[in-house]
Amino acid sequence: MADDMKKKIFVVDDDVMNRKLSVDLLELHGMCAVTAQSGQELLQMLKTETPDLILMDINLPDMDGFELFKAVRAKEKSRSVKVIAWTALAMREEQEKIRAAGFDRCIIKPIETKKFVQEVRDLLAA
Amino acid sequence: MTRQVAVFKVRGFTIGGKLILLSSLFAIALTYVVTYTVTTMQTQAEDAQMIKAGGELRFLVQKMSKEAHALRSGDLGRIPVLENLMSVYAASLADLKIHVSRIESATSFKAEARIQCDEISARWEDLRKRFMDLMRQMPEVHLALEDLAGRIPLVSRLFSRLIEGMGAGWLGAEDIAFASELDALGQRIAKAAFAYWGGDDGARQELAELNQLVSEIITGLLNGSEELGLEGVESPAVRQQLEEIREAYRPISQDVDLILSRVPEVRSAAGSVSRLNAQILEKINRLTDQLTQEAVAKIDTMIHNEWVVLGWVLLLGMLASLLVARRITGPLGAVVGAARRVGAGDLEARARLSSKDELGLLGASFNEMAQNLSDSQQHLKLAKEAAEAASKSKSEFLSHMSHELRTPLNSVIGFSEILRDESFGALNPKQKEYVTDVLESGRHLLSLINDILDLAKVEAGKLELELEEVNVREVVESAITIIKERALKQGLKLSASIADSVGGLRADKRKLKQILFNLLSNATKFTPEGGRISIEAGQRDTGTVIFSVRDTGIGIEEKDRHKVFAEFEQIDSAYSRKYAGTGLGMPLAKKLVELHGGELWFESEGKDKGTCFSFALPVKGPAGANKGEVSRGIEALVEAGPLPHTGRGNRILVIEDDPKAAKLISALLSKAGYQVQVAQDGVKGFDLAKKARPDLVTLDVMLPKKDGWEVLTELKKDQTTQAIPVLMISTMGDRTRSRALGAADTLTKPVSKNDLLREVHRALGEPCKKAA
Repeated sequence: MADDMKKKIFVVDDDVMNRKLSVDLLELHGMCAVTAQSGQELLQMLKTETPDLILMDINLPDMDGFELFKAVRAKEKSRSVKVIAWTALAMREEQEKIRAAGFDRCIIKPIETKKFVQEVRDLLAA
Repeated sequence: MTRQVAVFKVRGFTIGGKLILLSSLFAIALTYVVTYTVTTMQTQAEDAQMIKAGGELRFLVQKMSKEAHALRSGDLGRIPVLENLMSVYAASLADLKIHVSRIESATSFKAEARIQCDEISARWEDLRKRFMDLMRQMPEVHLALEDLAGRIPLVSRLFSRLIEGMGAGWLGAEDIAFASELDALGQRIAKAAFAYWGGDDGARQELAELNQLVSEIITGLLNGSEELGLEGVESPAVRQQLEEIREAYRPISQDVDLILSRVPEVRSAAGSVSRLNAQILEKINRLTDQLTQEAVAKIDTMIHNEWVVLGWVLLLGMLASLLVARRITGPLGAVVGAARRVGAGDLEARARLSSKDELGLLGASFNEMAQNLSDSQQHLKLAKEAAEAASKSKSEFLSHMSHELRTPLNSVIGFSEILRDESFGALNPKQKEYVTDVLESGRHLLSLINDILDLAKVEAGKLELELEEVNVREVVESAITIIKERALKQGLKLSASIADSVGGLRADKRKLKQILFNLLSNATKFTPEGGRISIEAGQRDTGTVIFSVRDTGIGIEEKDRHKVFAEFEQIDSAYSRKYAGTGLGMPLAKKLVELHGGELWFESEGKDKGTCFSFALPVKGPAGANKGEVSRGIEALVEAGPLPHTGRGNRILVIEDDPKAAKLISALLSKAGYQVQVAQDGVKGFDLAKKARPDLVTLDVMLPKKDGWEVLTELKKDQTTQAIPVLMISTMGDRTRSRALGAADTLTKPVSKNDLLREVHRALGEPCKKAA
């Protein structure tokens, strides 16, 4: 993938390890990842920049992923940005809730690295 | 929950009383109306009689008047008729008087009627006298007339002889003229007398004058009369004859005098009779008119009164019925209304009743019932809320656990994969081996977490099946695909055979796949290289599909059978390392099968002779609703339990006073293959332990006669029993105290099957190793 075509991805996750893992994986596969620790931080970032995709954890300290997702969709700039829920919420009810909220994809932690990268690429290409 | 039992008593008028009162009122009113009507009819009859009597009287008077008239005309034959009429009249008058005296109303009419009656009576007295006079005088006059008429010819003859004699010259011409006149005068007197009697008053004068004239002429002929111009007769013969004539005429003259004096009297009497008659008639007419009017008025009044009474009775009756009906239907309506509201779900609805009769009682009972209903509903609601809260916190805990475990595992697995893939540079063989180990451990940990959560969900009743029509072949093939790689890696042969008769069944596709995968995975784990694994699906009958997974693996020995479905169990610790697994696969598979309303079992001929796990599922899916199946599944767990345990050390004494708890514990232990004896108090328990020397004792703390702590102390003191392991079962879970007194372990009530069996195994020193 050409550098000038590098896709920019915002990752919001309160777990430092998971932030690191996602950034390393995405950059390893030629994408540009920027992280945020909280919902507010992501919203701040969205004021100045519009990414190609957001990887969004659901259990966040200041607001949950559902609220954050709504806030992202409510903003003119980020209305059409693709959002992947990436979460350790694996129970069926939780999955149903995520599906109902309207996320573009959902990736459950723990990930399989190859599948993870594939999902992200697929969505970016879509 | 205890209920107050209210005792209700009827106070005051019962409904029966009210109804009796009401019917009495009606009966009285009806009696009154009937009596009144009868009285009215009687009165009417009496009035009619009275009017009839009046009419009769009038008829009699009219008749008498006619008869009297006839009598006056000289018909003496009327006298007996009149006499008869008079007596009838007297009787009728007496009748009328009686009727009048009976007139009930104290009105002016009564007084007037009496007066009229009295007057009629008085007039009647007069009339009667007059009639008597008339009847007496009439014959006298008649006799005189007849006498008169008889004598006149005689006198005439005498005159004729006289006149003949006069022809001889005894008389002068004058005398002869008078004599001749005398003869004619006799005729005229008779005529006048009859005319007078016949009513010609003008004849009276004539009669009197003629009578006078005849007497004067006779006297004049005898003695001479200047007035008449007679000189008087001298001839003795003529005088003789004239004397005879005078004598003969004298009775006639007397008759004439009688007629003249009597006829006016008769006339007056007859006049009185007809006047009185007319008066009486008038009075009677007035009386009968009045009577009729009065009777009509009375009847009108009576009819009017009857209507009024009837109206009042009806009105009062209606009011009374309305009142009673309201007393009955009002409370009834209140109860019905309240019942309807309660029925519609408003449990606070109450029947508001003040009456103290049966309905009041009904209302009070209804209210009591509604209160009880409301109370129990409240209790149920609280219990439900508590249960929901517990369930919610349980599922929240599970959800939280899952999340918190997965989050770090994500980095473990993710980073290991990146390292293993050598994305950031090549690793030396040792490094690669370790990283692979880390990755494997991470993945193992993940599958453990998944299995634990699934099991926990089953236990919590949280695992719900998503039932759909599942194609058996598709599911089997998909399960094989997952295990294929691993089997091939281990050098195992995999084969599948699905009977043509098998089509689809109603099940949770994901769970069915999981069951098959767990069985295949289990077979893979315990089958050495070069072995064979086959999966079969067939139909036992039209309603059941049977799946079997057969391997040529290590088999299961008789003594290990009960461990197969125990959680975290693997048959031998030695295998644990060799055959990595969570130890949760088989228990979970069994529970999932049971959740589907099916059963799972296995057959093995023994060590190294392979094993065949089979399960049967109903084609139509689990009976009943989806949610019901969860609890059914759990029940099934308790019911089925592990397979019979055989071997040494299987006699257990259960010391427990609560019959339910004793029954549950002994059922669980019996199912697990133990021989169970129960003692219901501390003294019996200790004695039995000493006598029977069981391999294990479970001991409740709260016991009659001798509590659990004492029993434990004694058991541990006594040489014959001190070696027997004791499991304390208490509500408090005093682990420290029981350890100190020498108990093997302590279980907290309520005792779950798994806890109980695990502790029993452990206490009996049976192998109990957790998977790595």
